[in-house]
Amino acid sequence: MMIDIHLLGYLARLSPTKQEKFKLELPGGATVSQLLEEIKFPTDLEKVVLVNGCHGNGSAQLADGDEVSIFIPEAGG
Amino acid sequence: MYGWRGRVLRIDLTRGECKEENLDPQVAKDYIGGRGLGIYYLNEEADPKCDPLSPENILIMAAGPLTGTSAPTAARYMVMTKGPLTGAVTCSNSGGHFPKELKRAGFDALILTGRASKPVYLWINQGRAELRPAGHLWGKIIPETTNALLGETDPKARVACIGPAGEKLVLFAAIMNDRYRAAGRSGVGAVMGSKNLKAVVVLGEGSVPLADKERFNEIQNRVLTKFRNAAKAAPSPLSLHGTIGVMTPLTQKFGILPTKNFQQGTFDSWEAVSGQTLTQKYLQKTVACWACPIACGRFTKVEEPGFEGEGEGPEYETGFAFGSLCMVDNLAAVTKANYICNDLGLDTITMGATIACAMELFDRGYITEKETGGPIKWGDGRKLIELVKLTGYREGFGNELAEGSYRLAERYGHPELAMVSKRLELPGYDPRGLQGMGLNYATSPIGGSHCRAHMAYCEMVGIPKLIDSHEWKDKARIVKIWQDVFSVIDSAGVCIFFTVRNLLRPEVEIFPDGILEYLNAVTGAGYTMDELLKAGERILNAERMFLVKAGLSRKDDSLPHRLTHEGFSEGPAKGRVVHLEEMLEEYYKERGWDREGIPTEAKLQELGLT
Repeated sequence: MMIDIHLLGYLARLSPTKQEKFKLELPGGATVSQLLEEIKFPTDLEKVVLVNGCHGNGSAQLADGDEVSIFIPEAGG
Repeated sequence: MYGWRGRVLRIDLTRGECKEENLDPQVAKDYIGGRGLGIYYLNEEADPKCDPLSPENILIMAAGPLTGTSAPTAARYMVMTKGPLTGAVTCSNSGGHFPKELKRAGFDALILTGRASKPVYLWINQGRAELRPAGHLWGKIIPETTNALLGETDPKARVACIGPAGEKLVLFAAIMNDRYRAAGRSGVGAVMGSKNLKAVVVLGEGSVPLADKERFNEIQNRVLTKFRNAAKAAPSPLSLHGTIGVMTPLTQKFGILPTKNFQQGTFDSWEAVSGQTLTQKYLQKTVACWACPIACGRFTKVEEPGFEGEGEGPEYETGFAFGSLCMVDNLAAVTKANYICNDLGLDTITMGATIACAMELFDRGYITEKETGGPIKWGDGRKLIELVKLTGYREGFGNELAEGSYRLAERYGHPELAMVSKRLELPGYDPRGLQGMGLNYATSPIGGSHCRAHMAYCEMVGIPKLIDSHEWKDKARIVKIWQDVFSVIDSAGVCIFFTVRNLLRPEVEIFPDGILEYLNAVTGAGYTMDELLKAGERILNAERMFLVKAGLSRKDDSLPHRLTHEGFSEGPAKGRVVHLEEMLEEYYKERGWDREGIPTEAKLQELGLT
């Protein structure tokens, strides 16, 4: 299945294309944890993961066409 | 006293006299400083029923005990008065360098009363205060005013002043300090203009005395080392791309980026008006307030014809208010509108939101070109700029916009199209996706403000802990705690952006552990956590009593019908509305207020407010 990924700001350096937005092919039923492993997201780096705009924990299962956005946790403004 | 300078300056503008007096140490401890000190003096001396633009209103500028020390982000002051836009209390906060200069000059607060017979400015030089003529400055915009004042006082001084908007009593005129920093909301600049006070100029020397220097240094070392180590792993997004870079993508992805006057929660062109684009196209350098290790400020420059300018900003709130809220996808136009607000001294949130309201009124045919002088269409960046200029000078249709969105919409028969609470335009978080933020908007003492409890931290990004943004049960308890702690932050003189991330215990029910440490090391006041939290609650309740005496109550703890009854048709927050009535019932119980939202006698006694 194809997932749309958006790595915001500083996290773009983890993108295979170095662009913030890219598509990633994952096996059907893959979870958020598996996605993070696939893009080699550092396990000790704090993050906010949104799946289609909602918080997704590690075990959240993804579906074809899902949009996953990953942020460094920060707010203000 | 330590931390506190122990001195308040009273300025009787009617008589043209300045007088120093001691700050009562017990008052200082009970109300902390800044916002707390402001509401203490307002309740003691101001008439909550007064006309905010009359000589009877009192304008207070108050710094916190930490302001001016080198505690991280200890750069803040509060402007407290009765706001002309809202009729409620104001908690207009600003950073930069002016606040620390006030503390260096030896003052915790300025209390400005009456009205000068002719324009004046206040010059505080190393603790000596005098009122000087300002007729030659009246009419000048912020940069010219600031430069002229530095020329006739001292180039090292710091200036807080109003522009044409404040002079012409635009109901959301700001007080600008250090050229680009705004005490923006509620029309504090108009109060200053109504008093014929053009500026306050301050020069101080030395440092704010510390009670326990060794302890202070130990805390500094620990806190800043932790901050710097975290920044090595991942630089702060605030310093990389500013508030506009942090929040625009977040609110867009959550589906709560206020768009088209809150008709939508996502903006297709959001990237065109986000911080990453600002960095690529216009950013010149980052800017930090006094003692701030983050540097979220943006110094920018635009060279595109028709939008030329330079200065600080735009911030997120400005970006959404002139961008998505008005459907404008031209960042040059948004940035230029921001520069004009800085020059004329205008609140960017209310300005953008009032234009968005005008756009909707025009779109629906409730207002026509006969009134507006030309079409006011969604997405028109050039019209945006033209309307900001007209508003700052109260010219043409700008004279109507100068009253804010509520009075505009009411005048044309549709007050429900003003996205306000207590007539203060809502900031850049659609509360249909953030229940706690919705309750905070409705119950904040100043009206629709995210700053009295920035629920985006816990409801969106889990700082210090994640809570369910769509849940409304038990939310009132959390909002009450957050509001009380934010009262402490506002009164201590530090910035939300550093404090929430670094100085709070990591629990949902936040405790200001780090602020307690800093306050005790700086002031030697020996606060317990209970005393500090009680002070925060006391300040919030003191503000509520001012509102009650001003005639506000439950009916004013409201949100627009659109947000409580009309869900989005699409997006991540689809179908949701704010469950305000349910949360309000719970909130009043948590606060110890009656069902009209009035603090009970028992609660007032508990807080020493009778």
